[in-house]
Amino acid sequence: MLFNSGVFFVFLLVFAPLYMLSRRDLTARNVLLILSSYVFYGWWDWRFLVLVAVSTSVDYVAALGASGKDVRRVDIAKSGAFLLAVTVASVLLARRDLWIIGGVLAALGVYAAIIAGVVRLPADRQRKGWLMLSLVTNLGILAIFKYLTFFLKTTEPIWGGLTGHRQDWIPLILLPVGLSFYTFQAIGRTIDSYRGAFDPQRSLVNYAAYHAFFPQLVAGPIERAAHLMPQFERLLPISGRMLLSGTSLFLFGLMKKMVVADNLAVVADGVFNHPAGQTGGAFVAGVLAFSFQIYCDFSGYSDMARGLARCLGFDLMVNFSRPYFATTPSRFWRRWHISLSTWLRDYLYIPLGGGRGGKWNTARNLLVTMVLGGLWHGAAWTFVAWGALHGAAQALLRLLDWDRRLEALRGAVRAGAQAGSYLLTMLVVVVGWILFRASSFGNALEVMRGSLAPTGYDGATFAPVLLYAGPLLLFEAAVELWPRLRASPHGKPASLLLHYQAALISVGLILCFAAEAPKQFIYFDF
Amino acid sequence: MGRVMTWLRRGLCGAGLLAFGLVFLELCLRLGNPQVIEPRNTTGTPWGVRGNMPGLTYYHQTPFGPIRFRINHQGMRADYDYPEAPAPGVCRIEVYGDSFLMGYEVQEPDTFAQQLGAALKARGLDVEVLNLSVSGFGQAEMLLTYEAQGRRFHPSVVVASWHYTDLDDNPRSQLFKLTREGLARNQPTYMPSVDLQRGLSGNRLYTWLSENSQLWSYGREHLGYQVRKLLAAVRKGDAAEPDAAVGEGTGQGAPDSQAKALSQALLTEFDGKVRGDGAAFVVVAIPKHPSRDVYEPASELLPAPFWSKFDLVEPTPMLKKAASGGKVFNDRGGAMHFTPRGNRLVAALTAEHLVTSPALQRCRALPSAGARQARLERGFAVGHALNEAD
Repeated sequence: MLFNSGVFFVFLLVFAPLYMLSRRDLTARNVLLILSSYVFYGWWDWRFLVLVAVSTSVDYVAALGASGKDVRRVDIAKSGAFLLAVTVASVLLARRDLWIIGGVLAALGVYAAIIAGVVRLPADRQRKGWLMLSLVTNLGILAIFKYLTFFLKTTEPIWGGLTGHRQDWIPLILLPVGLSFYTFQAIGRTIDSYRGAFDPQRSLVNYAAYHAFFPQLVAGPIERAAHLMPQFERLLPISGRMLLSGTSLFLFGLMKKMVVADNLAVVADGVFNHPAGQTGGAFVAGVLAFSFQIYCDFSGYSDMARGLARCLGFDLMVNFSRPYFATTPSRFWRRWHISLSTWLRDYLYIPLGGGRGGKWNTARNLLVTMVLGGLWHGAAWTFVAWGALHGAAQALLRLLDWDRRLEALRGAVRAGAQAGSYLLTMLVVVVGWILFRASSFGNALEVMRGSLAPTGYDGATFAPVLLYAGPLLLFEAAVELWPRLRASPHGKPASLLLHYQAALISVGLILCFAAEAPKQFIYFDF
Repeated sequence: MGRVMTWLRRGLCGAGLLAFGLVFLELCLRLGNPQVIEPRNTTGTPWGVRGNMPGLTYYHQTPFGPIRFRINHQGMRADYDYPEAPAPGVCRIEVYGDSFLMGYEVQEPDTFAQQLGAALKARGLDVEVLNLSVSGFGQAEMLLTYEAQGRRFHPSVVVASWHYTDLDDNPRSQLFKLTREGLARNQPTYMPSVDLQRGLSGNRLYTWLSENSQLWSYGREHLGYQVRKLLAAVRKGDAAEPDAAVGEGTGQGAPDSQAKALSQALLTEFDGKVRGDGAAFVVVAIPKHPSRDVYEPASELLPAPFWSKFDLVEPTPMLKKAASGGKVFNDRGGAMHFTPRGNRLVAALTAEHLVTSPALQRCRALPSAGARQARLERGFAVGHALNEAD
């Protein structure tokens, strides 16, 4: 279900009154959240609810075990029963693929055997065993559903001789929506439990509601258990101010998606899908259009998720913070998809060694982290190259100690260096978007080469980018320059009237300028 | 008392803010994205489907000015009522379609029906064209209207539209279903929102909003679209059941195939009924028009061999060719119905099909000298319509 679809508003019409009725009882509220989140997700394809349930069931017990708590038989039975119930329900709703039930029953048998093995481990290794169970399950799901086809195609030259280089048996596996998001969120919680940074509770209902929370299930933010999970363990107040500011934020995100991203998608698609015969100006406009398309598409979704969650009384983390005003690549990643970059930092970069062990080790860790981050976005070499580009840029600047030197400068020199650094950073970012958007390296090279041609630099070519991205950029520049304009959880809350007016302006812009053909969110593919 | 006053103040503030918001959004639309205001004004008919409200005159507000709709007492878009029997020597043509053939966004003389009449008269045929189109109609409703009303007017030719929306409209109405024996009646009536509209039409605020507010019109259109989409999704889910009413026993797997099978059966039935009454049956395909110079032929939604049984008018190639030359056949500023030019072109093509139809030859009049001259002039206009496309 898309936030920008009619069916979602019908869903909300049914969900909202039920939520208001149930919100004073924790179990009722969380059960309603589970059911509605599963309907929200299953609307796309009921069968893939089984994967959500697998991840939920495994991580429910794995986090308990990884934290050192006693995993009781009743906990294991609850998680198995939950998985089985969701499987049967989703197969019945999908009205096909009955074999899934058999598959899940078999998996439950294997699961029981593994658990029996884990609980027999010595106490000091048991926690690690539970952690491994979570990692293997979640990364296994990712490996099969996201990377298996890519892996088989990539390695086909090696083993292809065995099949006479016939590729028709390589399975084309459908990528479940939001898979990378909810598996990473589940892994993060179990790792935090293992590290002692989070204390998992025994309520399966609370955890299942957290795991499948529909505002952020399919495209994040990838929340930290310590921040979001406690909100599922208590009743949350909902005030008129929260409702209005949540609605205002949701509508602002919807406007970014429907007005900016979807309209710029037409320009970007025109260039990337049909590069032949385009002028240099058209290429540059197309690349810039994509740069803002992806920003408004993804940050719009995050705003909608946060706004919706706020209306329900929940607080989700900020995922974007004016990334196109970052002056270095590392600062860019502190502003872009913050929930993923901090996840990669905490669960990959730091365990790899982080900034310890000298400059070269740091550079290597940065490179590895960003390459894997690129691969997280999609199973294609272009994503790997995109991650490598960002990793290399950050590694290089770390070797040069760029951030510290920049801070040390003063006066006009500092301003000049900041400006130069900003331009170089944006160059890296924009070139990176070419790799990100291109269907292949050939396509990327064609666009890069085309962008260098000094033809077609006229106002009409750049008009859509200026028209749709310009006002947003000006707005963000104002917020960047005047910190008082920034929303702060500790500052004076904006007045109701301001939220109301902001919501009205967003709706007005949607009514007037929404793209004729709405597009799916880009990050749904990840 | 103080508490009451506080709540009163809050209520007034809320109402004021709501009113301000609505006015603000109305202004946004009027300035940034002017909408057409197209009240449908349909009512139930004794034969169980929607019909235009008889005897009503109303206006659609479009960016091109107000469009007058005069509905006669028989529910047709016409200024006068028709006697059941045609005048001697006059052939009747009945036009069945949705908002396109009803003539949304054009004045009555510019509708397809009027243009078709003019084109055939110019070719020496004494015809009278009755427009029985109703916005939102699919073939199921057209067929029932023909059976209950249309055949009473003794048409020589029946022209029915085929629009891509019919694939959704026909199954949604559930007026017919496919069984092992073929097409069968299902629900006795299909009159969506007619009761609601009847109830609301007495309300002055509703009437005022539906005739004057662009925001209201926008909301209604989008809500209707989303509801139809939702119903289509639900219907597809239902149709996936092997025992579902639509597609029962057809052996068709996918829901789309079932909708197509139902539409084919309805067109075949319609054709059979019309031919059984001794009249000719012509289908006019209304192309999908997603962007300025893109026209997608509606006839391609059904298999080509199916159409070989029909007298089909497919204007898409000509519209496409002419649109690539910058001509505008659909109102992009409005709701994308045909412009007068679009109606003229499609009517001229249909007239080309009909001019040699045996069903109309008895109406070929020997004109007087004055009439000959007038026809020559009109003939020039028809030729001009076709030439425009070249």
